Amino acid sequence: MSENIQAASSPKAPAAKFGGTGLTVAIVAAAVVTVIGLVLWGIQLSGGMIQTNMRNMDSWGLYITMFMFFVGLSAGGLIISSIPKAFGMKGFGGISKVAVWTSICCTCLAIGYVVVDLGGPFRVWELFVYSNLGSPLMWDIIVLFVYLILSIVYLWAQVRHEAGRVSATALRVVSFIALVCAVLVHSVTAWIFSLQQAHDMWHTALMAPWFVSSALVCGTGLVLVVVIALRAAGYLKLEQANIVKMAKMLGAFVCVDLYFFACDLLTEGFPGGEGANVVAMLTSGPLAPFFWIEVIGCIIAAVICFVPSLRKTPALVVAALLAIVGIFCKRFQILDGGFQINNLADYGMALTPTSVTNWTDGMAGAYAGLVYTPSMLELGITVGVLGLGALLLLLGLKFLPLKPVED
Amino acid sequence: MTHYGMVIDTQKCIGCHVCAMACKLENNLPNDIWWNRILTDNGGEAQFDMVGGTYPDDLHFGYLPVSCQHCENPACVKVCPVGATYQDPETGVVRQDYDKCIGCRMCMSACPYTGVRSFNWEEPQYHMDYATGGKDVPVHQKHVVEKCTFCYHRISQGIEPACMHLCVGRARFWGDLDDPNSEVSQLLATREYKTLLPERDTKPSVYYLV
Amino acid sequence: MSEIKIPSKGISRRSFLKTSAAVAGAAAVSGGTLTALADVAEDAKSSAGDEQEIKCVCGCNCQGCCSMIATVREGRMVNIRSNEDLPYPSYERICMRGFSHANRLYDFNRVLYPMKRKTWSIEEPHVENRGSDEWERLSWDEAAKLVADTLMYNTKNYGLRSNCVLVSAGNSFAAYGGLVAGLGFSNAFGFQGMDVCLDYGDLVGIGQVTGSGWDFNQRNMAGDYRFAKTLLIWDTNPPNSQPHSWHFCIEAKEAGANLVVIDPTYTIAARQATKWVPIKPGTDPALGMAMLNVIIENEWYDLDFMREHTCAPLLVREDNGHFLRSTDFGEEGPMQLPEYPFYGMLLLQGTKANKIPTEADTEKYVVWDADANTWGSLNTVANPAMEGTFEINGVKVTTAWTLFKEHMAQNTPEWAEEITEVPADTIRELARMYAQDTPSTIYAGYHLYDNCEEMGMTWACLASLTGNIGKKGASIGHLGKSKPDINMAGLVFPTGLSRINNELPWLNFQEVLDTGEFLGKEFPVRLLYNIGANPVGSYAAQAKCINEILPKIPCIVTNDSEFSETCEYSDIVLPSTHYFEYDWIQAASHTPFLYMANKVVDPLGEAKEDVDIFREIAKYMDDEKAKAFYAKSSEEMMRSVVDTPAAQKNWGINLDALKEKGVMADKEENWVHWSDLKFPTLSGRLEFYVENPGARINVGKPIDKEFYHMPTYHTPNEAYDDSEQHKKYPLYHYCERTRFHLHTQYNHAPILRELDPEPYLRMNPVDAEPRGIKEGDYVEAYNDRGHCVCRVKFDNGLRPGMVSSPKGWHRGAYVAGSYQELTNDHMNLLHQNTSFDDTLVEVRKYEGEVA
Repeated sequence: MSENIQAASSPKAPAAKFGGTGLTVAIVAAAVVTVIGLVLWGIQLSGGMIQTNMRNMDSWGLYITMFMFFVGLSAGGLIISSIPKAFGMKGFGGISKVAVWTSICCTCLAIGYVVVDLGGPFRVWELFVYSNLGSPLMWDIIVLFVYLILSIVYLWAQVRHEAGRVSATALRVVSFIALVCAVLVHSVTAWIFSLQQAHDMWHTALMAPWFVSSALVCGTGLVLVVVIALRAAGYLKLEQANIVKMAKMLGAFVCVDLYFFACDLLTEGFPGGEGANVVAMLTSGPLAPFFWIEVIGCIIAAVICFVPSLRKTPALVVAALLAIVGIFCKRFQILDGGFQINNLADYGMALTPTSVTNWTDGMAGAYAGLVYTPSMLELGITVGVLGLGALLLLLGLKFLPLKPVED
Repeated sequence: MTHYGMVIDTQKCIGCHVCAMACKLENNLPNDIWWNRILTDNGGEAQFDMVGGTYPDDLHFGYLPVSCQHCENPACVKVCPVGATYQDPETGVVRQDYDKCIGCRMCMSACPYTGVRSFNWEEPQYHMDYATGGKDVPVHQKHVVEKCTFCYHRISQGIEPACMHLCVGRARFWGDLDDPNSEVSQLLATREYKTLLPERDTKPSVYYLV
Repeated sequence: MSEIKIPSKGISRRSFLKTSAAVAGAAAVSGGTLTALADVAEDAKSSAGDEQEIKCVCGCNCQGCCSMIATVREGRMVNIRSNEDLPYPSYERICMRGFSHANRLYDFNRVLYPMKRKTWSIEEPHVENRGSDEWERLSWDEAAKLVADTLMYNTKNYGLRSNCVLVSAGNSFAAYGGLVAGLGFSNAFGFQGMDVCLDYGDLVGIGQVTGSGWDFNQRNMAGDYRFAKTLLIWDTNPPNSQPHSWHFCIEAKEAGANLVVIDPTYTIAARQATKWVPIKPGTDPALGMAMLNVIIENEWYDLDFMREHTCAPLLVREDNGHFLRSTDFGEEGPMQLPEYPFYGMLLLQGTKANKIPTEADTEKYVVWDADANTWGSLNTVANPAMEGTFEINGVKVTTAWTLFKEHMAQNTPEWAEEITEVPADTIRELARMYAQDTPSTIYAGYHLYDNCEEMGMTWACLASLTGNIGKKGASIGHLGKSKPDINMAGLVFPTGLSRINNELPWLNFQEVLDTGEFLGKEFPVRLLYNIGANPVGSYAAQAKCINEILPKIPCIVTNDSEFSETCEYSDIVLPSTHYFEYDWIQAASHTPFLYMANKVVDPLGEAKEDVDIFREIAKYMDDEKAKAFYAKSSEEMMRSVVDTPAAQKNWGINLDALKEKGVMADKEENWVHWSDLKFPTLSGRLEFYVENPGARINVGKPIDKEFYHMPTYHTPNEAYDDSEQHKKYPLYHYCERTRFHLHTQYNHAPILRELDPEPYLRMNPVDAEPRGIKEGDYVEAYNDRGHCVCRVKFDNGLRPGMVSSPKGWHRGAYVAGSYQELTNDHMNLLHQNTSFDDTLVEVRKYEGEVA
């Protein structure tokens, strides 16, 4: 700790020198993607969301999937960076600021995805005027903003701490609050889904802890990838032992996540009935590819993380990416799976172009494959929001004092 | 207190769609939007209007008109972050404030009765270039969630909802569920009935006689 | 001359699909709707901004006659609802089609202006350009003069009857309005009337027994179904075709009646019935005949009723099959009955139906006096022998009842089970219900198979034997149209009866065109005038109609409000008003009311009501008698119908009262037909033995009268397992009535197309699987007459071996062809009715491109 304080006393942080032209090009590219995204969003708003593939019976889509996913990444990232601080673990100090910044960017992305999903983004002010505090969505909005502010405070506190202006104890307190908030933000996001009695797949008490474990998986995975990448780029230095530590953590989180998944599947499927439909849909129905990519990917990731001989850097990148992809697949399973089972499926319905994504072939046709797949416009806007995240991340790397001081 | 409810006799419903059309016209519903949908009770293995089962002895066929169930315990009201969907304390009618709705579609996802809510996915389009239906029907807005209002603009003037003006099969009944002498209460007292998806604990105000 | 706003190449499938998605798409195709609406909006701006409620009537001839209240705001119709202010509230009614009228009024497919096909002229008609030619807009004066000149040119060069007029109920079925206007036009000038060959098959079967000719005039008023203890819903699915009457049937069921549906298909009616009897298609007459057999075997008949009210005791001569009359023994010898016993025109059947024979007429019928053991007059013998064979003055005679019993002995339930695939025990149970759980009503649909006349006759025989007719809760057949207290004759026959003759059946048209002869005389056809009729869309074997019939006619004129398929193949198209655009009078007695159908909105474009169109044409004609008729105002015409002494005396009805009240009763709520049990047959009795069966219309082709005296089963024309075609085309195809169409009306109402966007072929998956067809596939149904390509929908309630197409779809909505290309146009010489469902097809997966 004391080294940190000393190092930070030379306040001109080295960040400015990192990256050079490459980084500038990347920033410009990200900015261009962001602008394209904004234009597409304008098209979506003016021409109507009929241009997305969301419809009345599958009313959420890729945006909410991405929202879930990035809340997870952000919470995971922060948890990873704050656990060592909160519990006084050594060796991770160097990555902490980058992790928090990544996490902040992810939070912004998550908020961005909610905003592009809204039909009336110009009415968001109503959230603060007409707040219905009983709505889990309102809880999430509140927690998300508190969390965003806390993350910024936490980052600021670390920088100030390095500058000797914030005490280690204070930093620990802030990091602990951030940790609680990160857990909370993901639980509340889970409650948006799990408190609805409408969808059997969502209505499970396990959803909140499971969201947290998933957040840890992809958060750790993300930090691992970012850190390895930044180390390769010379932005920071990190001992392989710490990478290994992180990999072991990833492996543990993956196992917990899979365990939760197994618990949930068993509980849903065992009594038969509606729950069994959910299990069948996941394992052998339209969502099977997503399910098996997640399960197999995560198992491979865990194996890589736990077997010392496999724990080489490139393999670890693969493991981390598999974990992230796995969790994305899970997010998509949750989103699409909720709509894939229609509560009124025992009835024939006249479908119109607003009823359901694939309406032309009747109910059987609409639900034969994935009930929802995103339209090109949705993909474009999704990439655009990602561009915004990349832009923030890169700008941070370029202009913020995120580079670790020598340990 | 008044608690408006609807009773539909599934033994008499012939799926004629008069109630659906009355709703569509009265509320000037945009193209491809139907608040009152007549589902075909065929086990889900066949399309709209088609018969399920096996010919000739094990066939499955009937109709079920489904619109907003105006639940006593509405899933939609709880989740709306801005209170745009709310329960009218005087009548129990679950209402929707188009001007408030931010288009998050949380209510659509929370409602177990898949498809009773409609989102105007674009600027509302109409087959005709003028508004049909009641004078006092709120104007439809783009990117706003809507649903059956129990024709609030009519019941507030003491007129029955448009779908209740005449059921051709004489299968629809409307009235105050809190009044034990109302036609609907009498029917529920004397006939066997079901509600839709009772396991979701929403306590619908629409009852189906079986 | 502004731009023509009608598609010159008809309606494409794409435009159909688009109309359900966006009105912009539809407008782009035709350029019609929005511009037309804008015009209306412009006009409306000047009028007051408040709301009006107008009582109007749907004239679409589903037999519902719905009285409705339209709301009009700023000159445009904004809403509609059923009229709750009726003399008998039980008849309050409306259907989903009724709600679509605002859509139909402002339909993109409306005909807005008089139009002429560009390359057509009297001298050089260029029929080869029909369907592809461009359209030229005409002023009304130009159009009327052109039609009049053509009619006169043809009259001068080819004779009056070279002008054929085909009238149907598309522009409203009315006492003053659409249908009557068309018939009046034809008869005023004496043009050749065309017979539509629709729905008359069962009617002629029933009418031979009851004496009602081939009139619709048969069943009790709908409200009376409530009092039946057994209700046989036979060959129909009222919840779709007549939704407004179904609640009466359900009321009967709730009162404990047997509600039995006899139908190969599991319909919603079958679902709600107490019993559903699935039957092999087209074999229903065999079921009815076996019921007769069971009733006879078990002596469940009503002998007293038969003695008093049927031909049972009449004596049938062995030599000529006629009833024995005392006059047979006079100088003139046996009575000569006409070869063709019917008037060859629908509206005259009613004239005959009102003719109950007098005492003097029945005096001459001979019966055998069982007490005195000698013969005597029907009028005086108290106890006529019901059974037995006798010899009277050397003439061998047998009672009709004996003949009937012997004749029906062969039609055992086991025999019928073979044909109908209805278990013999079910047939026995049906017969028991019908004869013993009385009163019984047969709510009949149209049996659209070649053996339909036997179907009708069998129904009438069932009623005759059991006395289930002329009583509360007991009747047979189809709804009636008898309106005895008003007088439509002045409008239908404006210049008297002298100018009319037998109509020319549509099914016989091709032969007349091919040979140039009719009834042995030269008969050139120069013009076909369609009034509210859509022969291309509605009549069987569409490809033949388009490719073989129409090209032989140099001029085709059509009055229609929508641009139908027939308009596409016409040379001159005149815009009729929709029935909400003028004042008219509805009087079809499917309900016990007379209606003032008030104008709701101004006509779109330059549309005119049919009477006005004929007024315009009459101006340029040289017929003074007809011109005098058309000089009358519409008000005068209406008064001639409504202001009759009988209407005033019995119901207080006159035009002024009708205008004030909108709807007035002209019959009792639960009116019973033939309640005095006097029938308009020659004997005044129900003649279950038909002494003189005959062709419905004289087309110069006699029938085998021997065969038709009593119900005798014969197969459909092609739709039976042993038919020649069945080897190639094993699937029975029928046209179901859906609630989204009424014949070819409502095809374009976009609000209906949202739920019913495209035509389909219904098929049981059992038949689809071996053909490699999956739900939603595009399939081709075909036979020797034509084909159609559309999606397939699986329906497990459809009898395996059958497929069905929803009736009414415009051919443009199909990927290729049309369901109407498949239908059978065979002409049966007796009933001359189109047996649409007597059709076999094969179905295969369609591998071609779908636009």
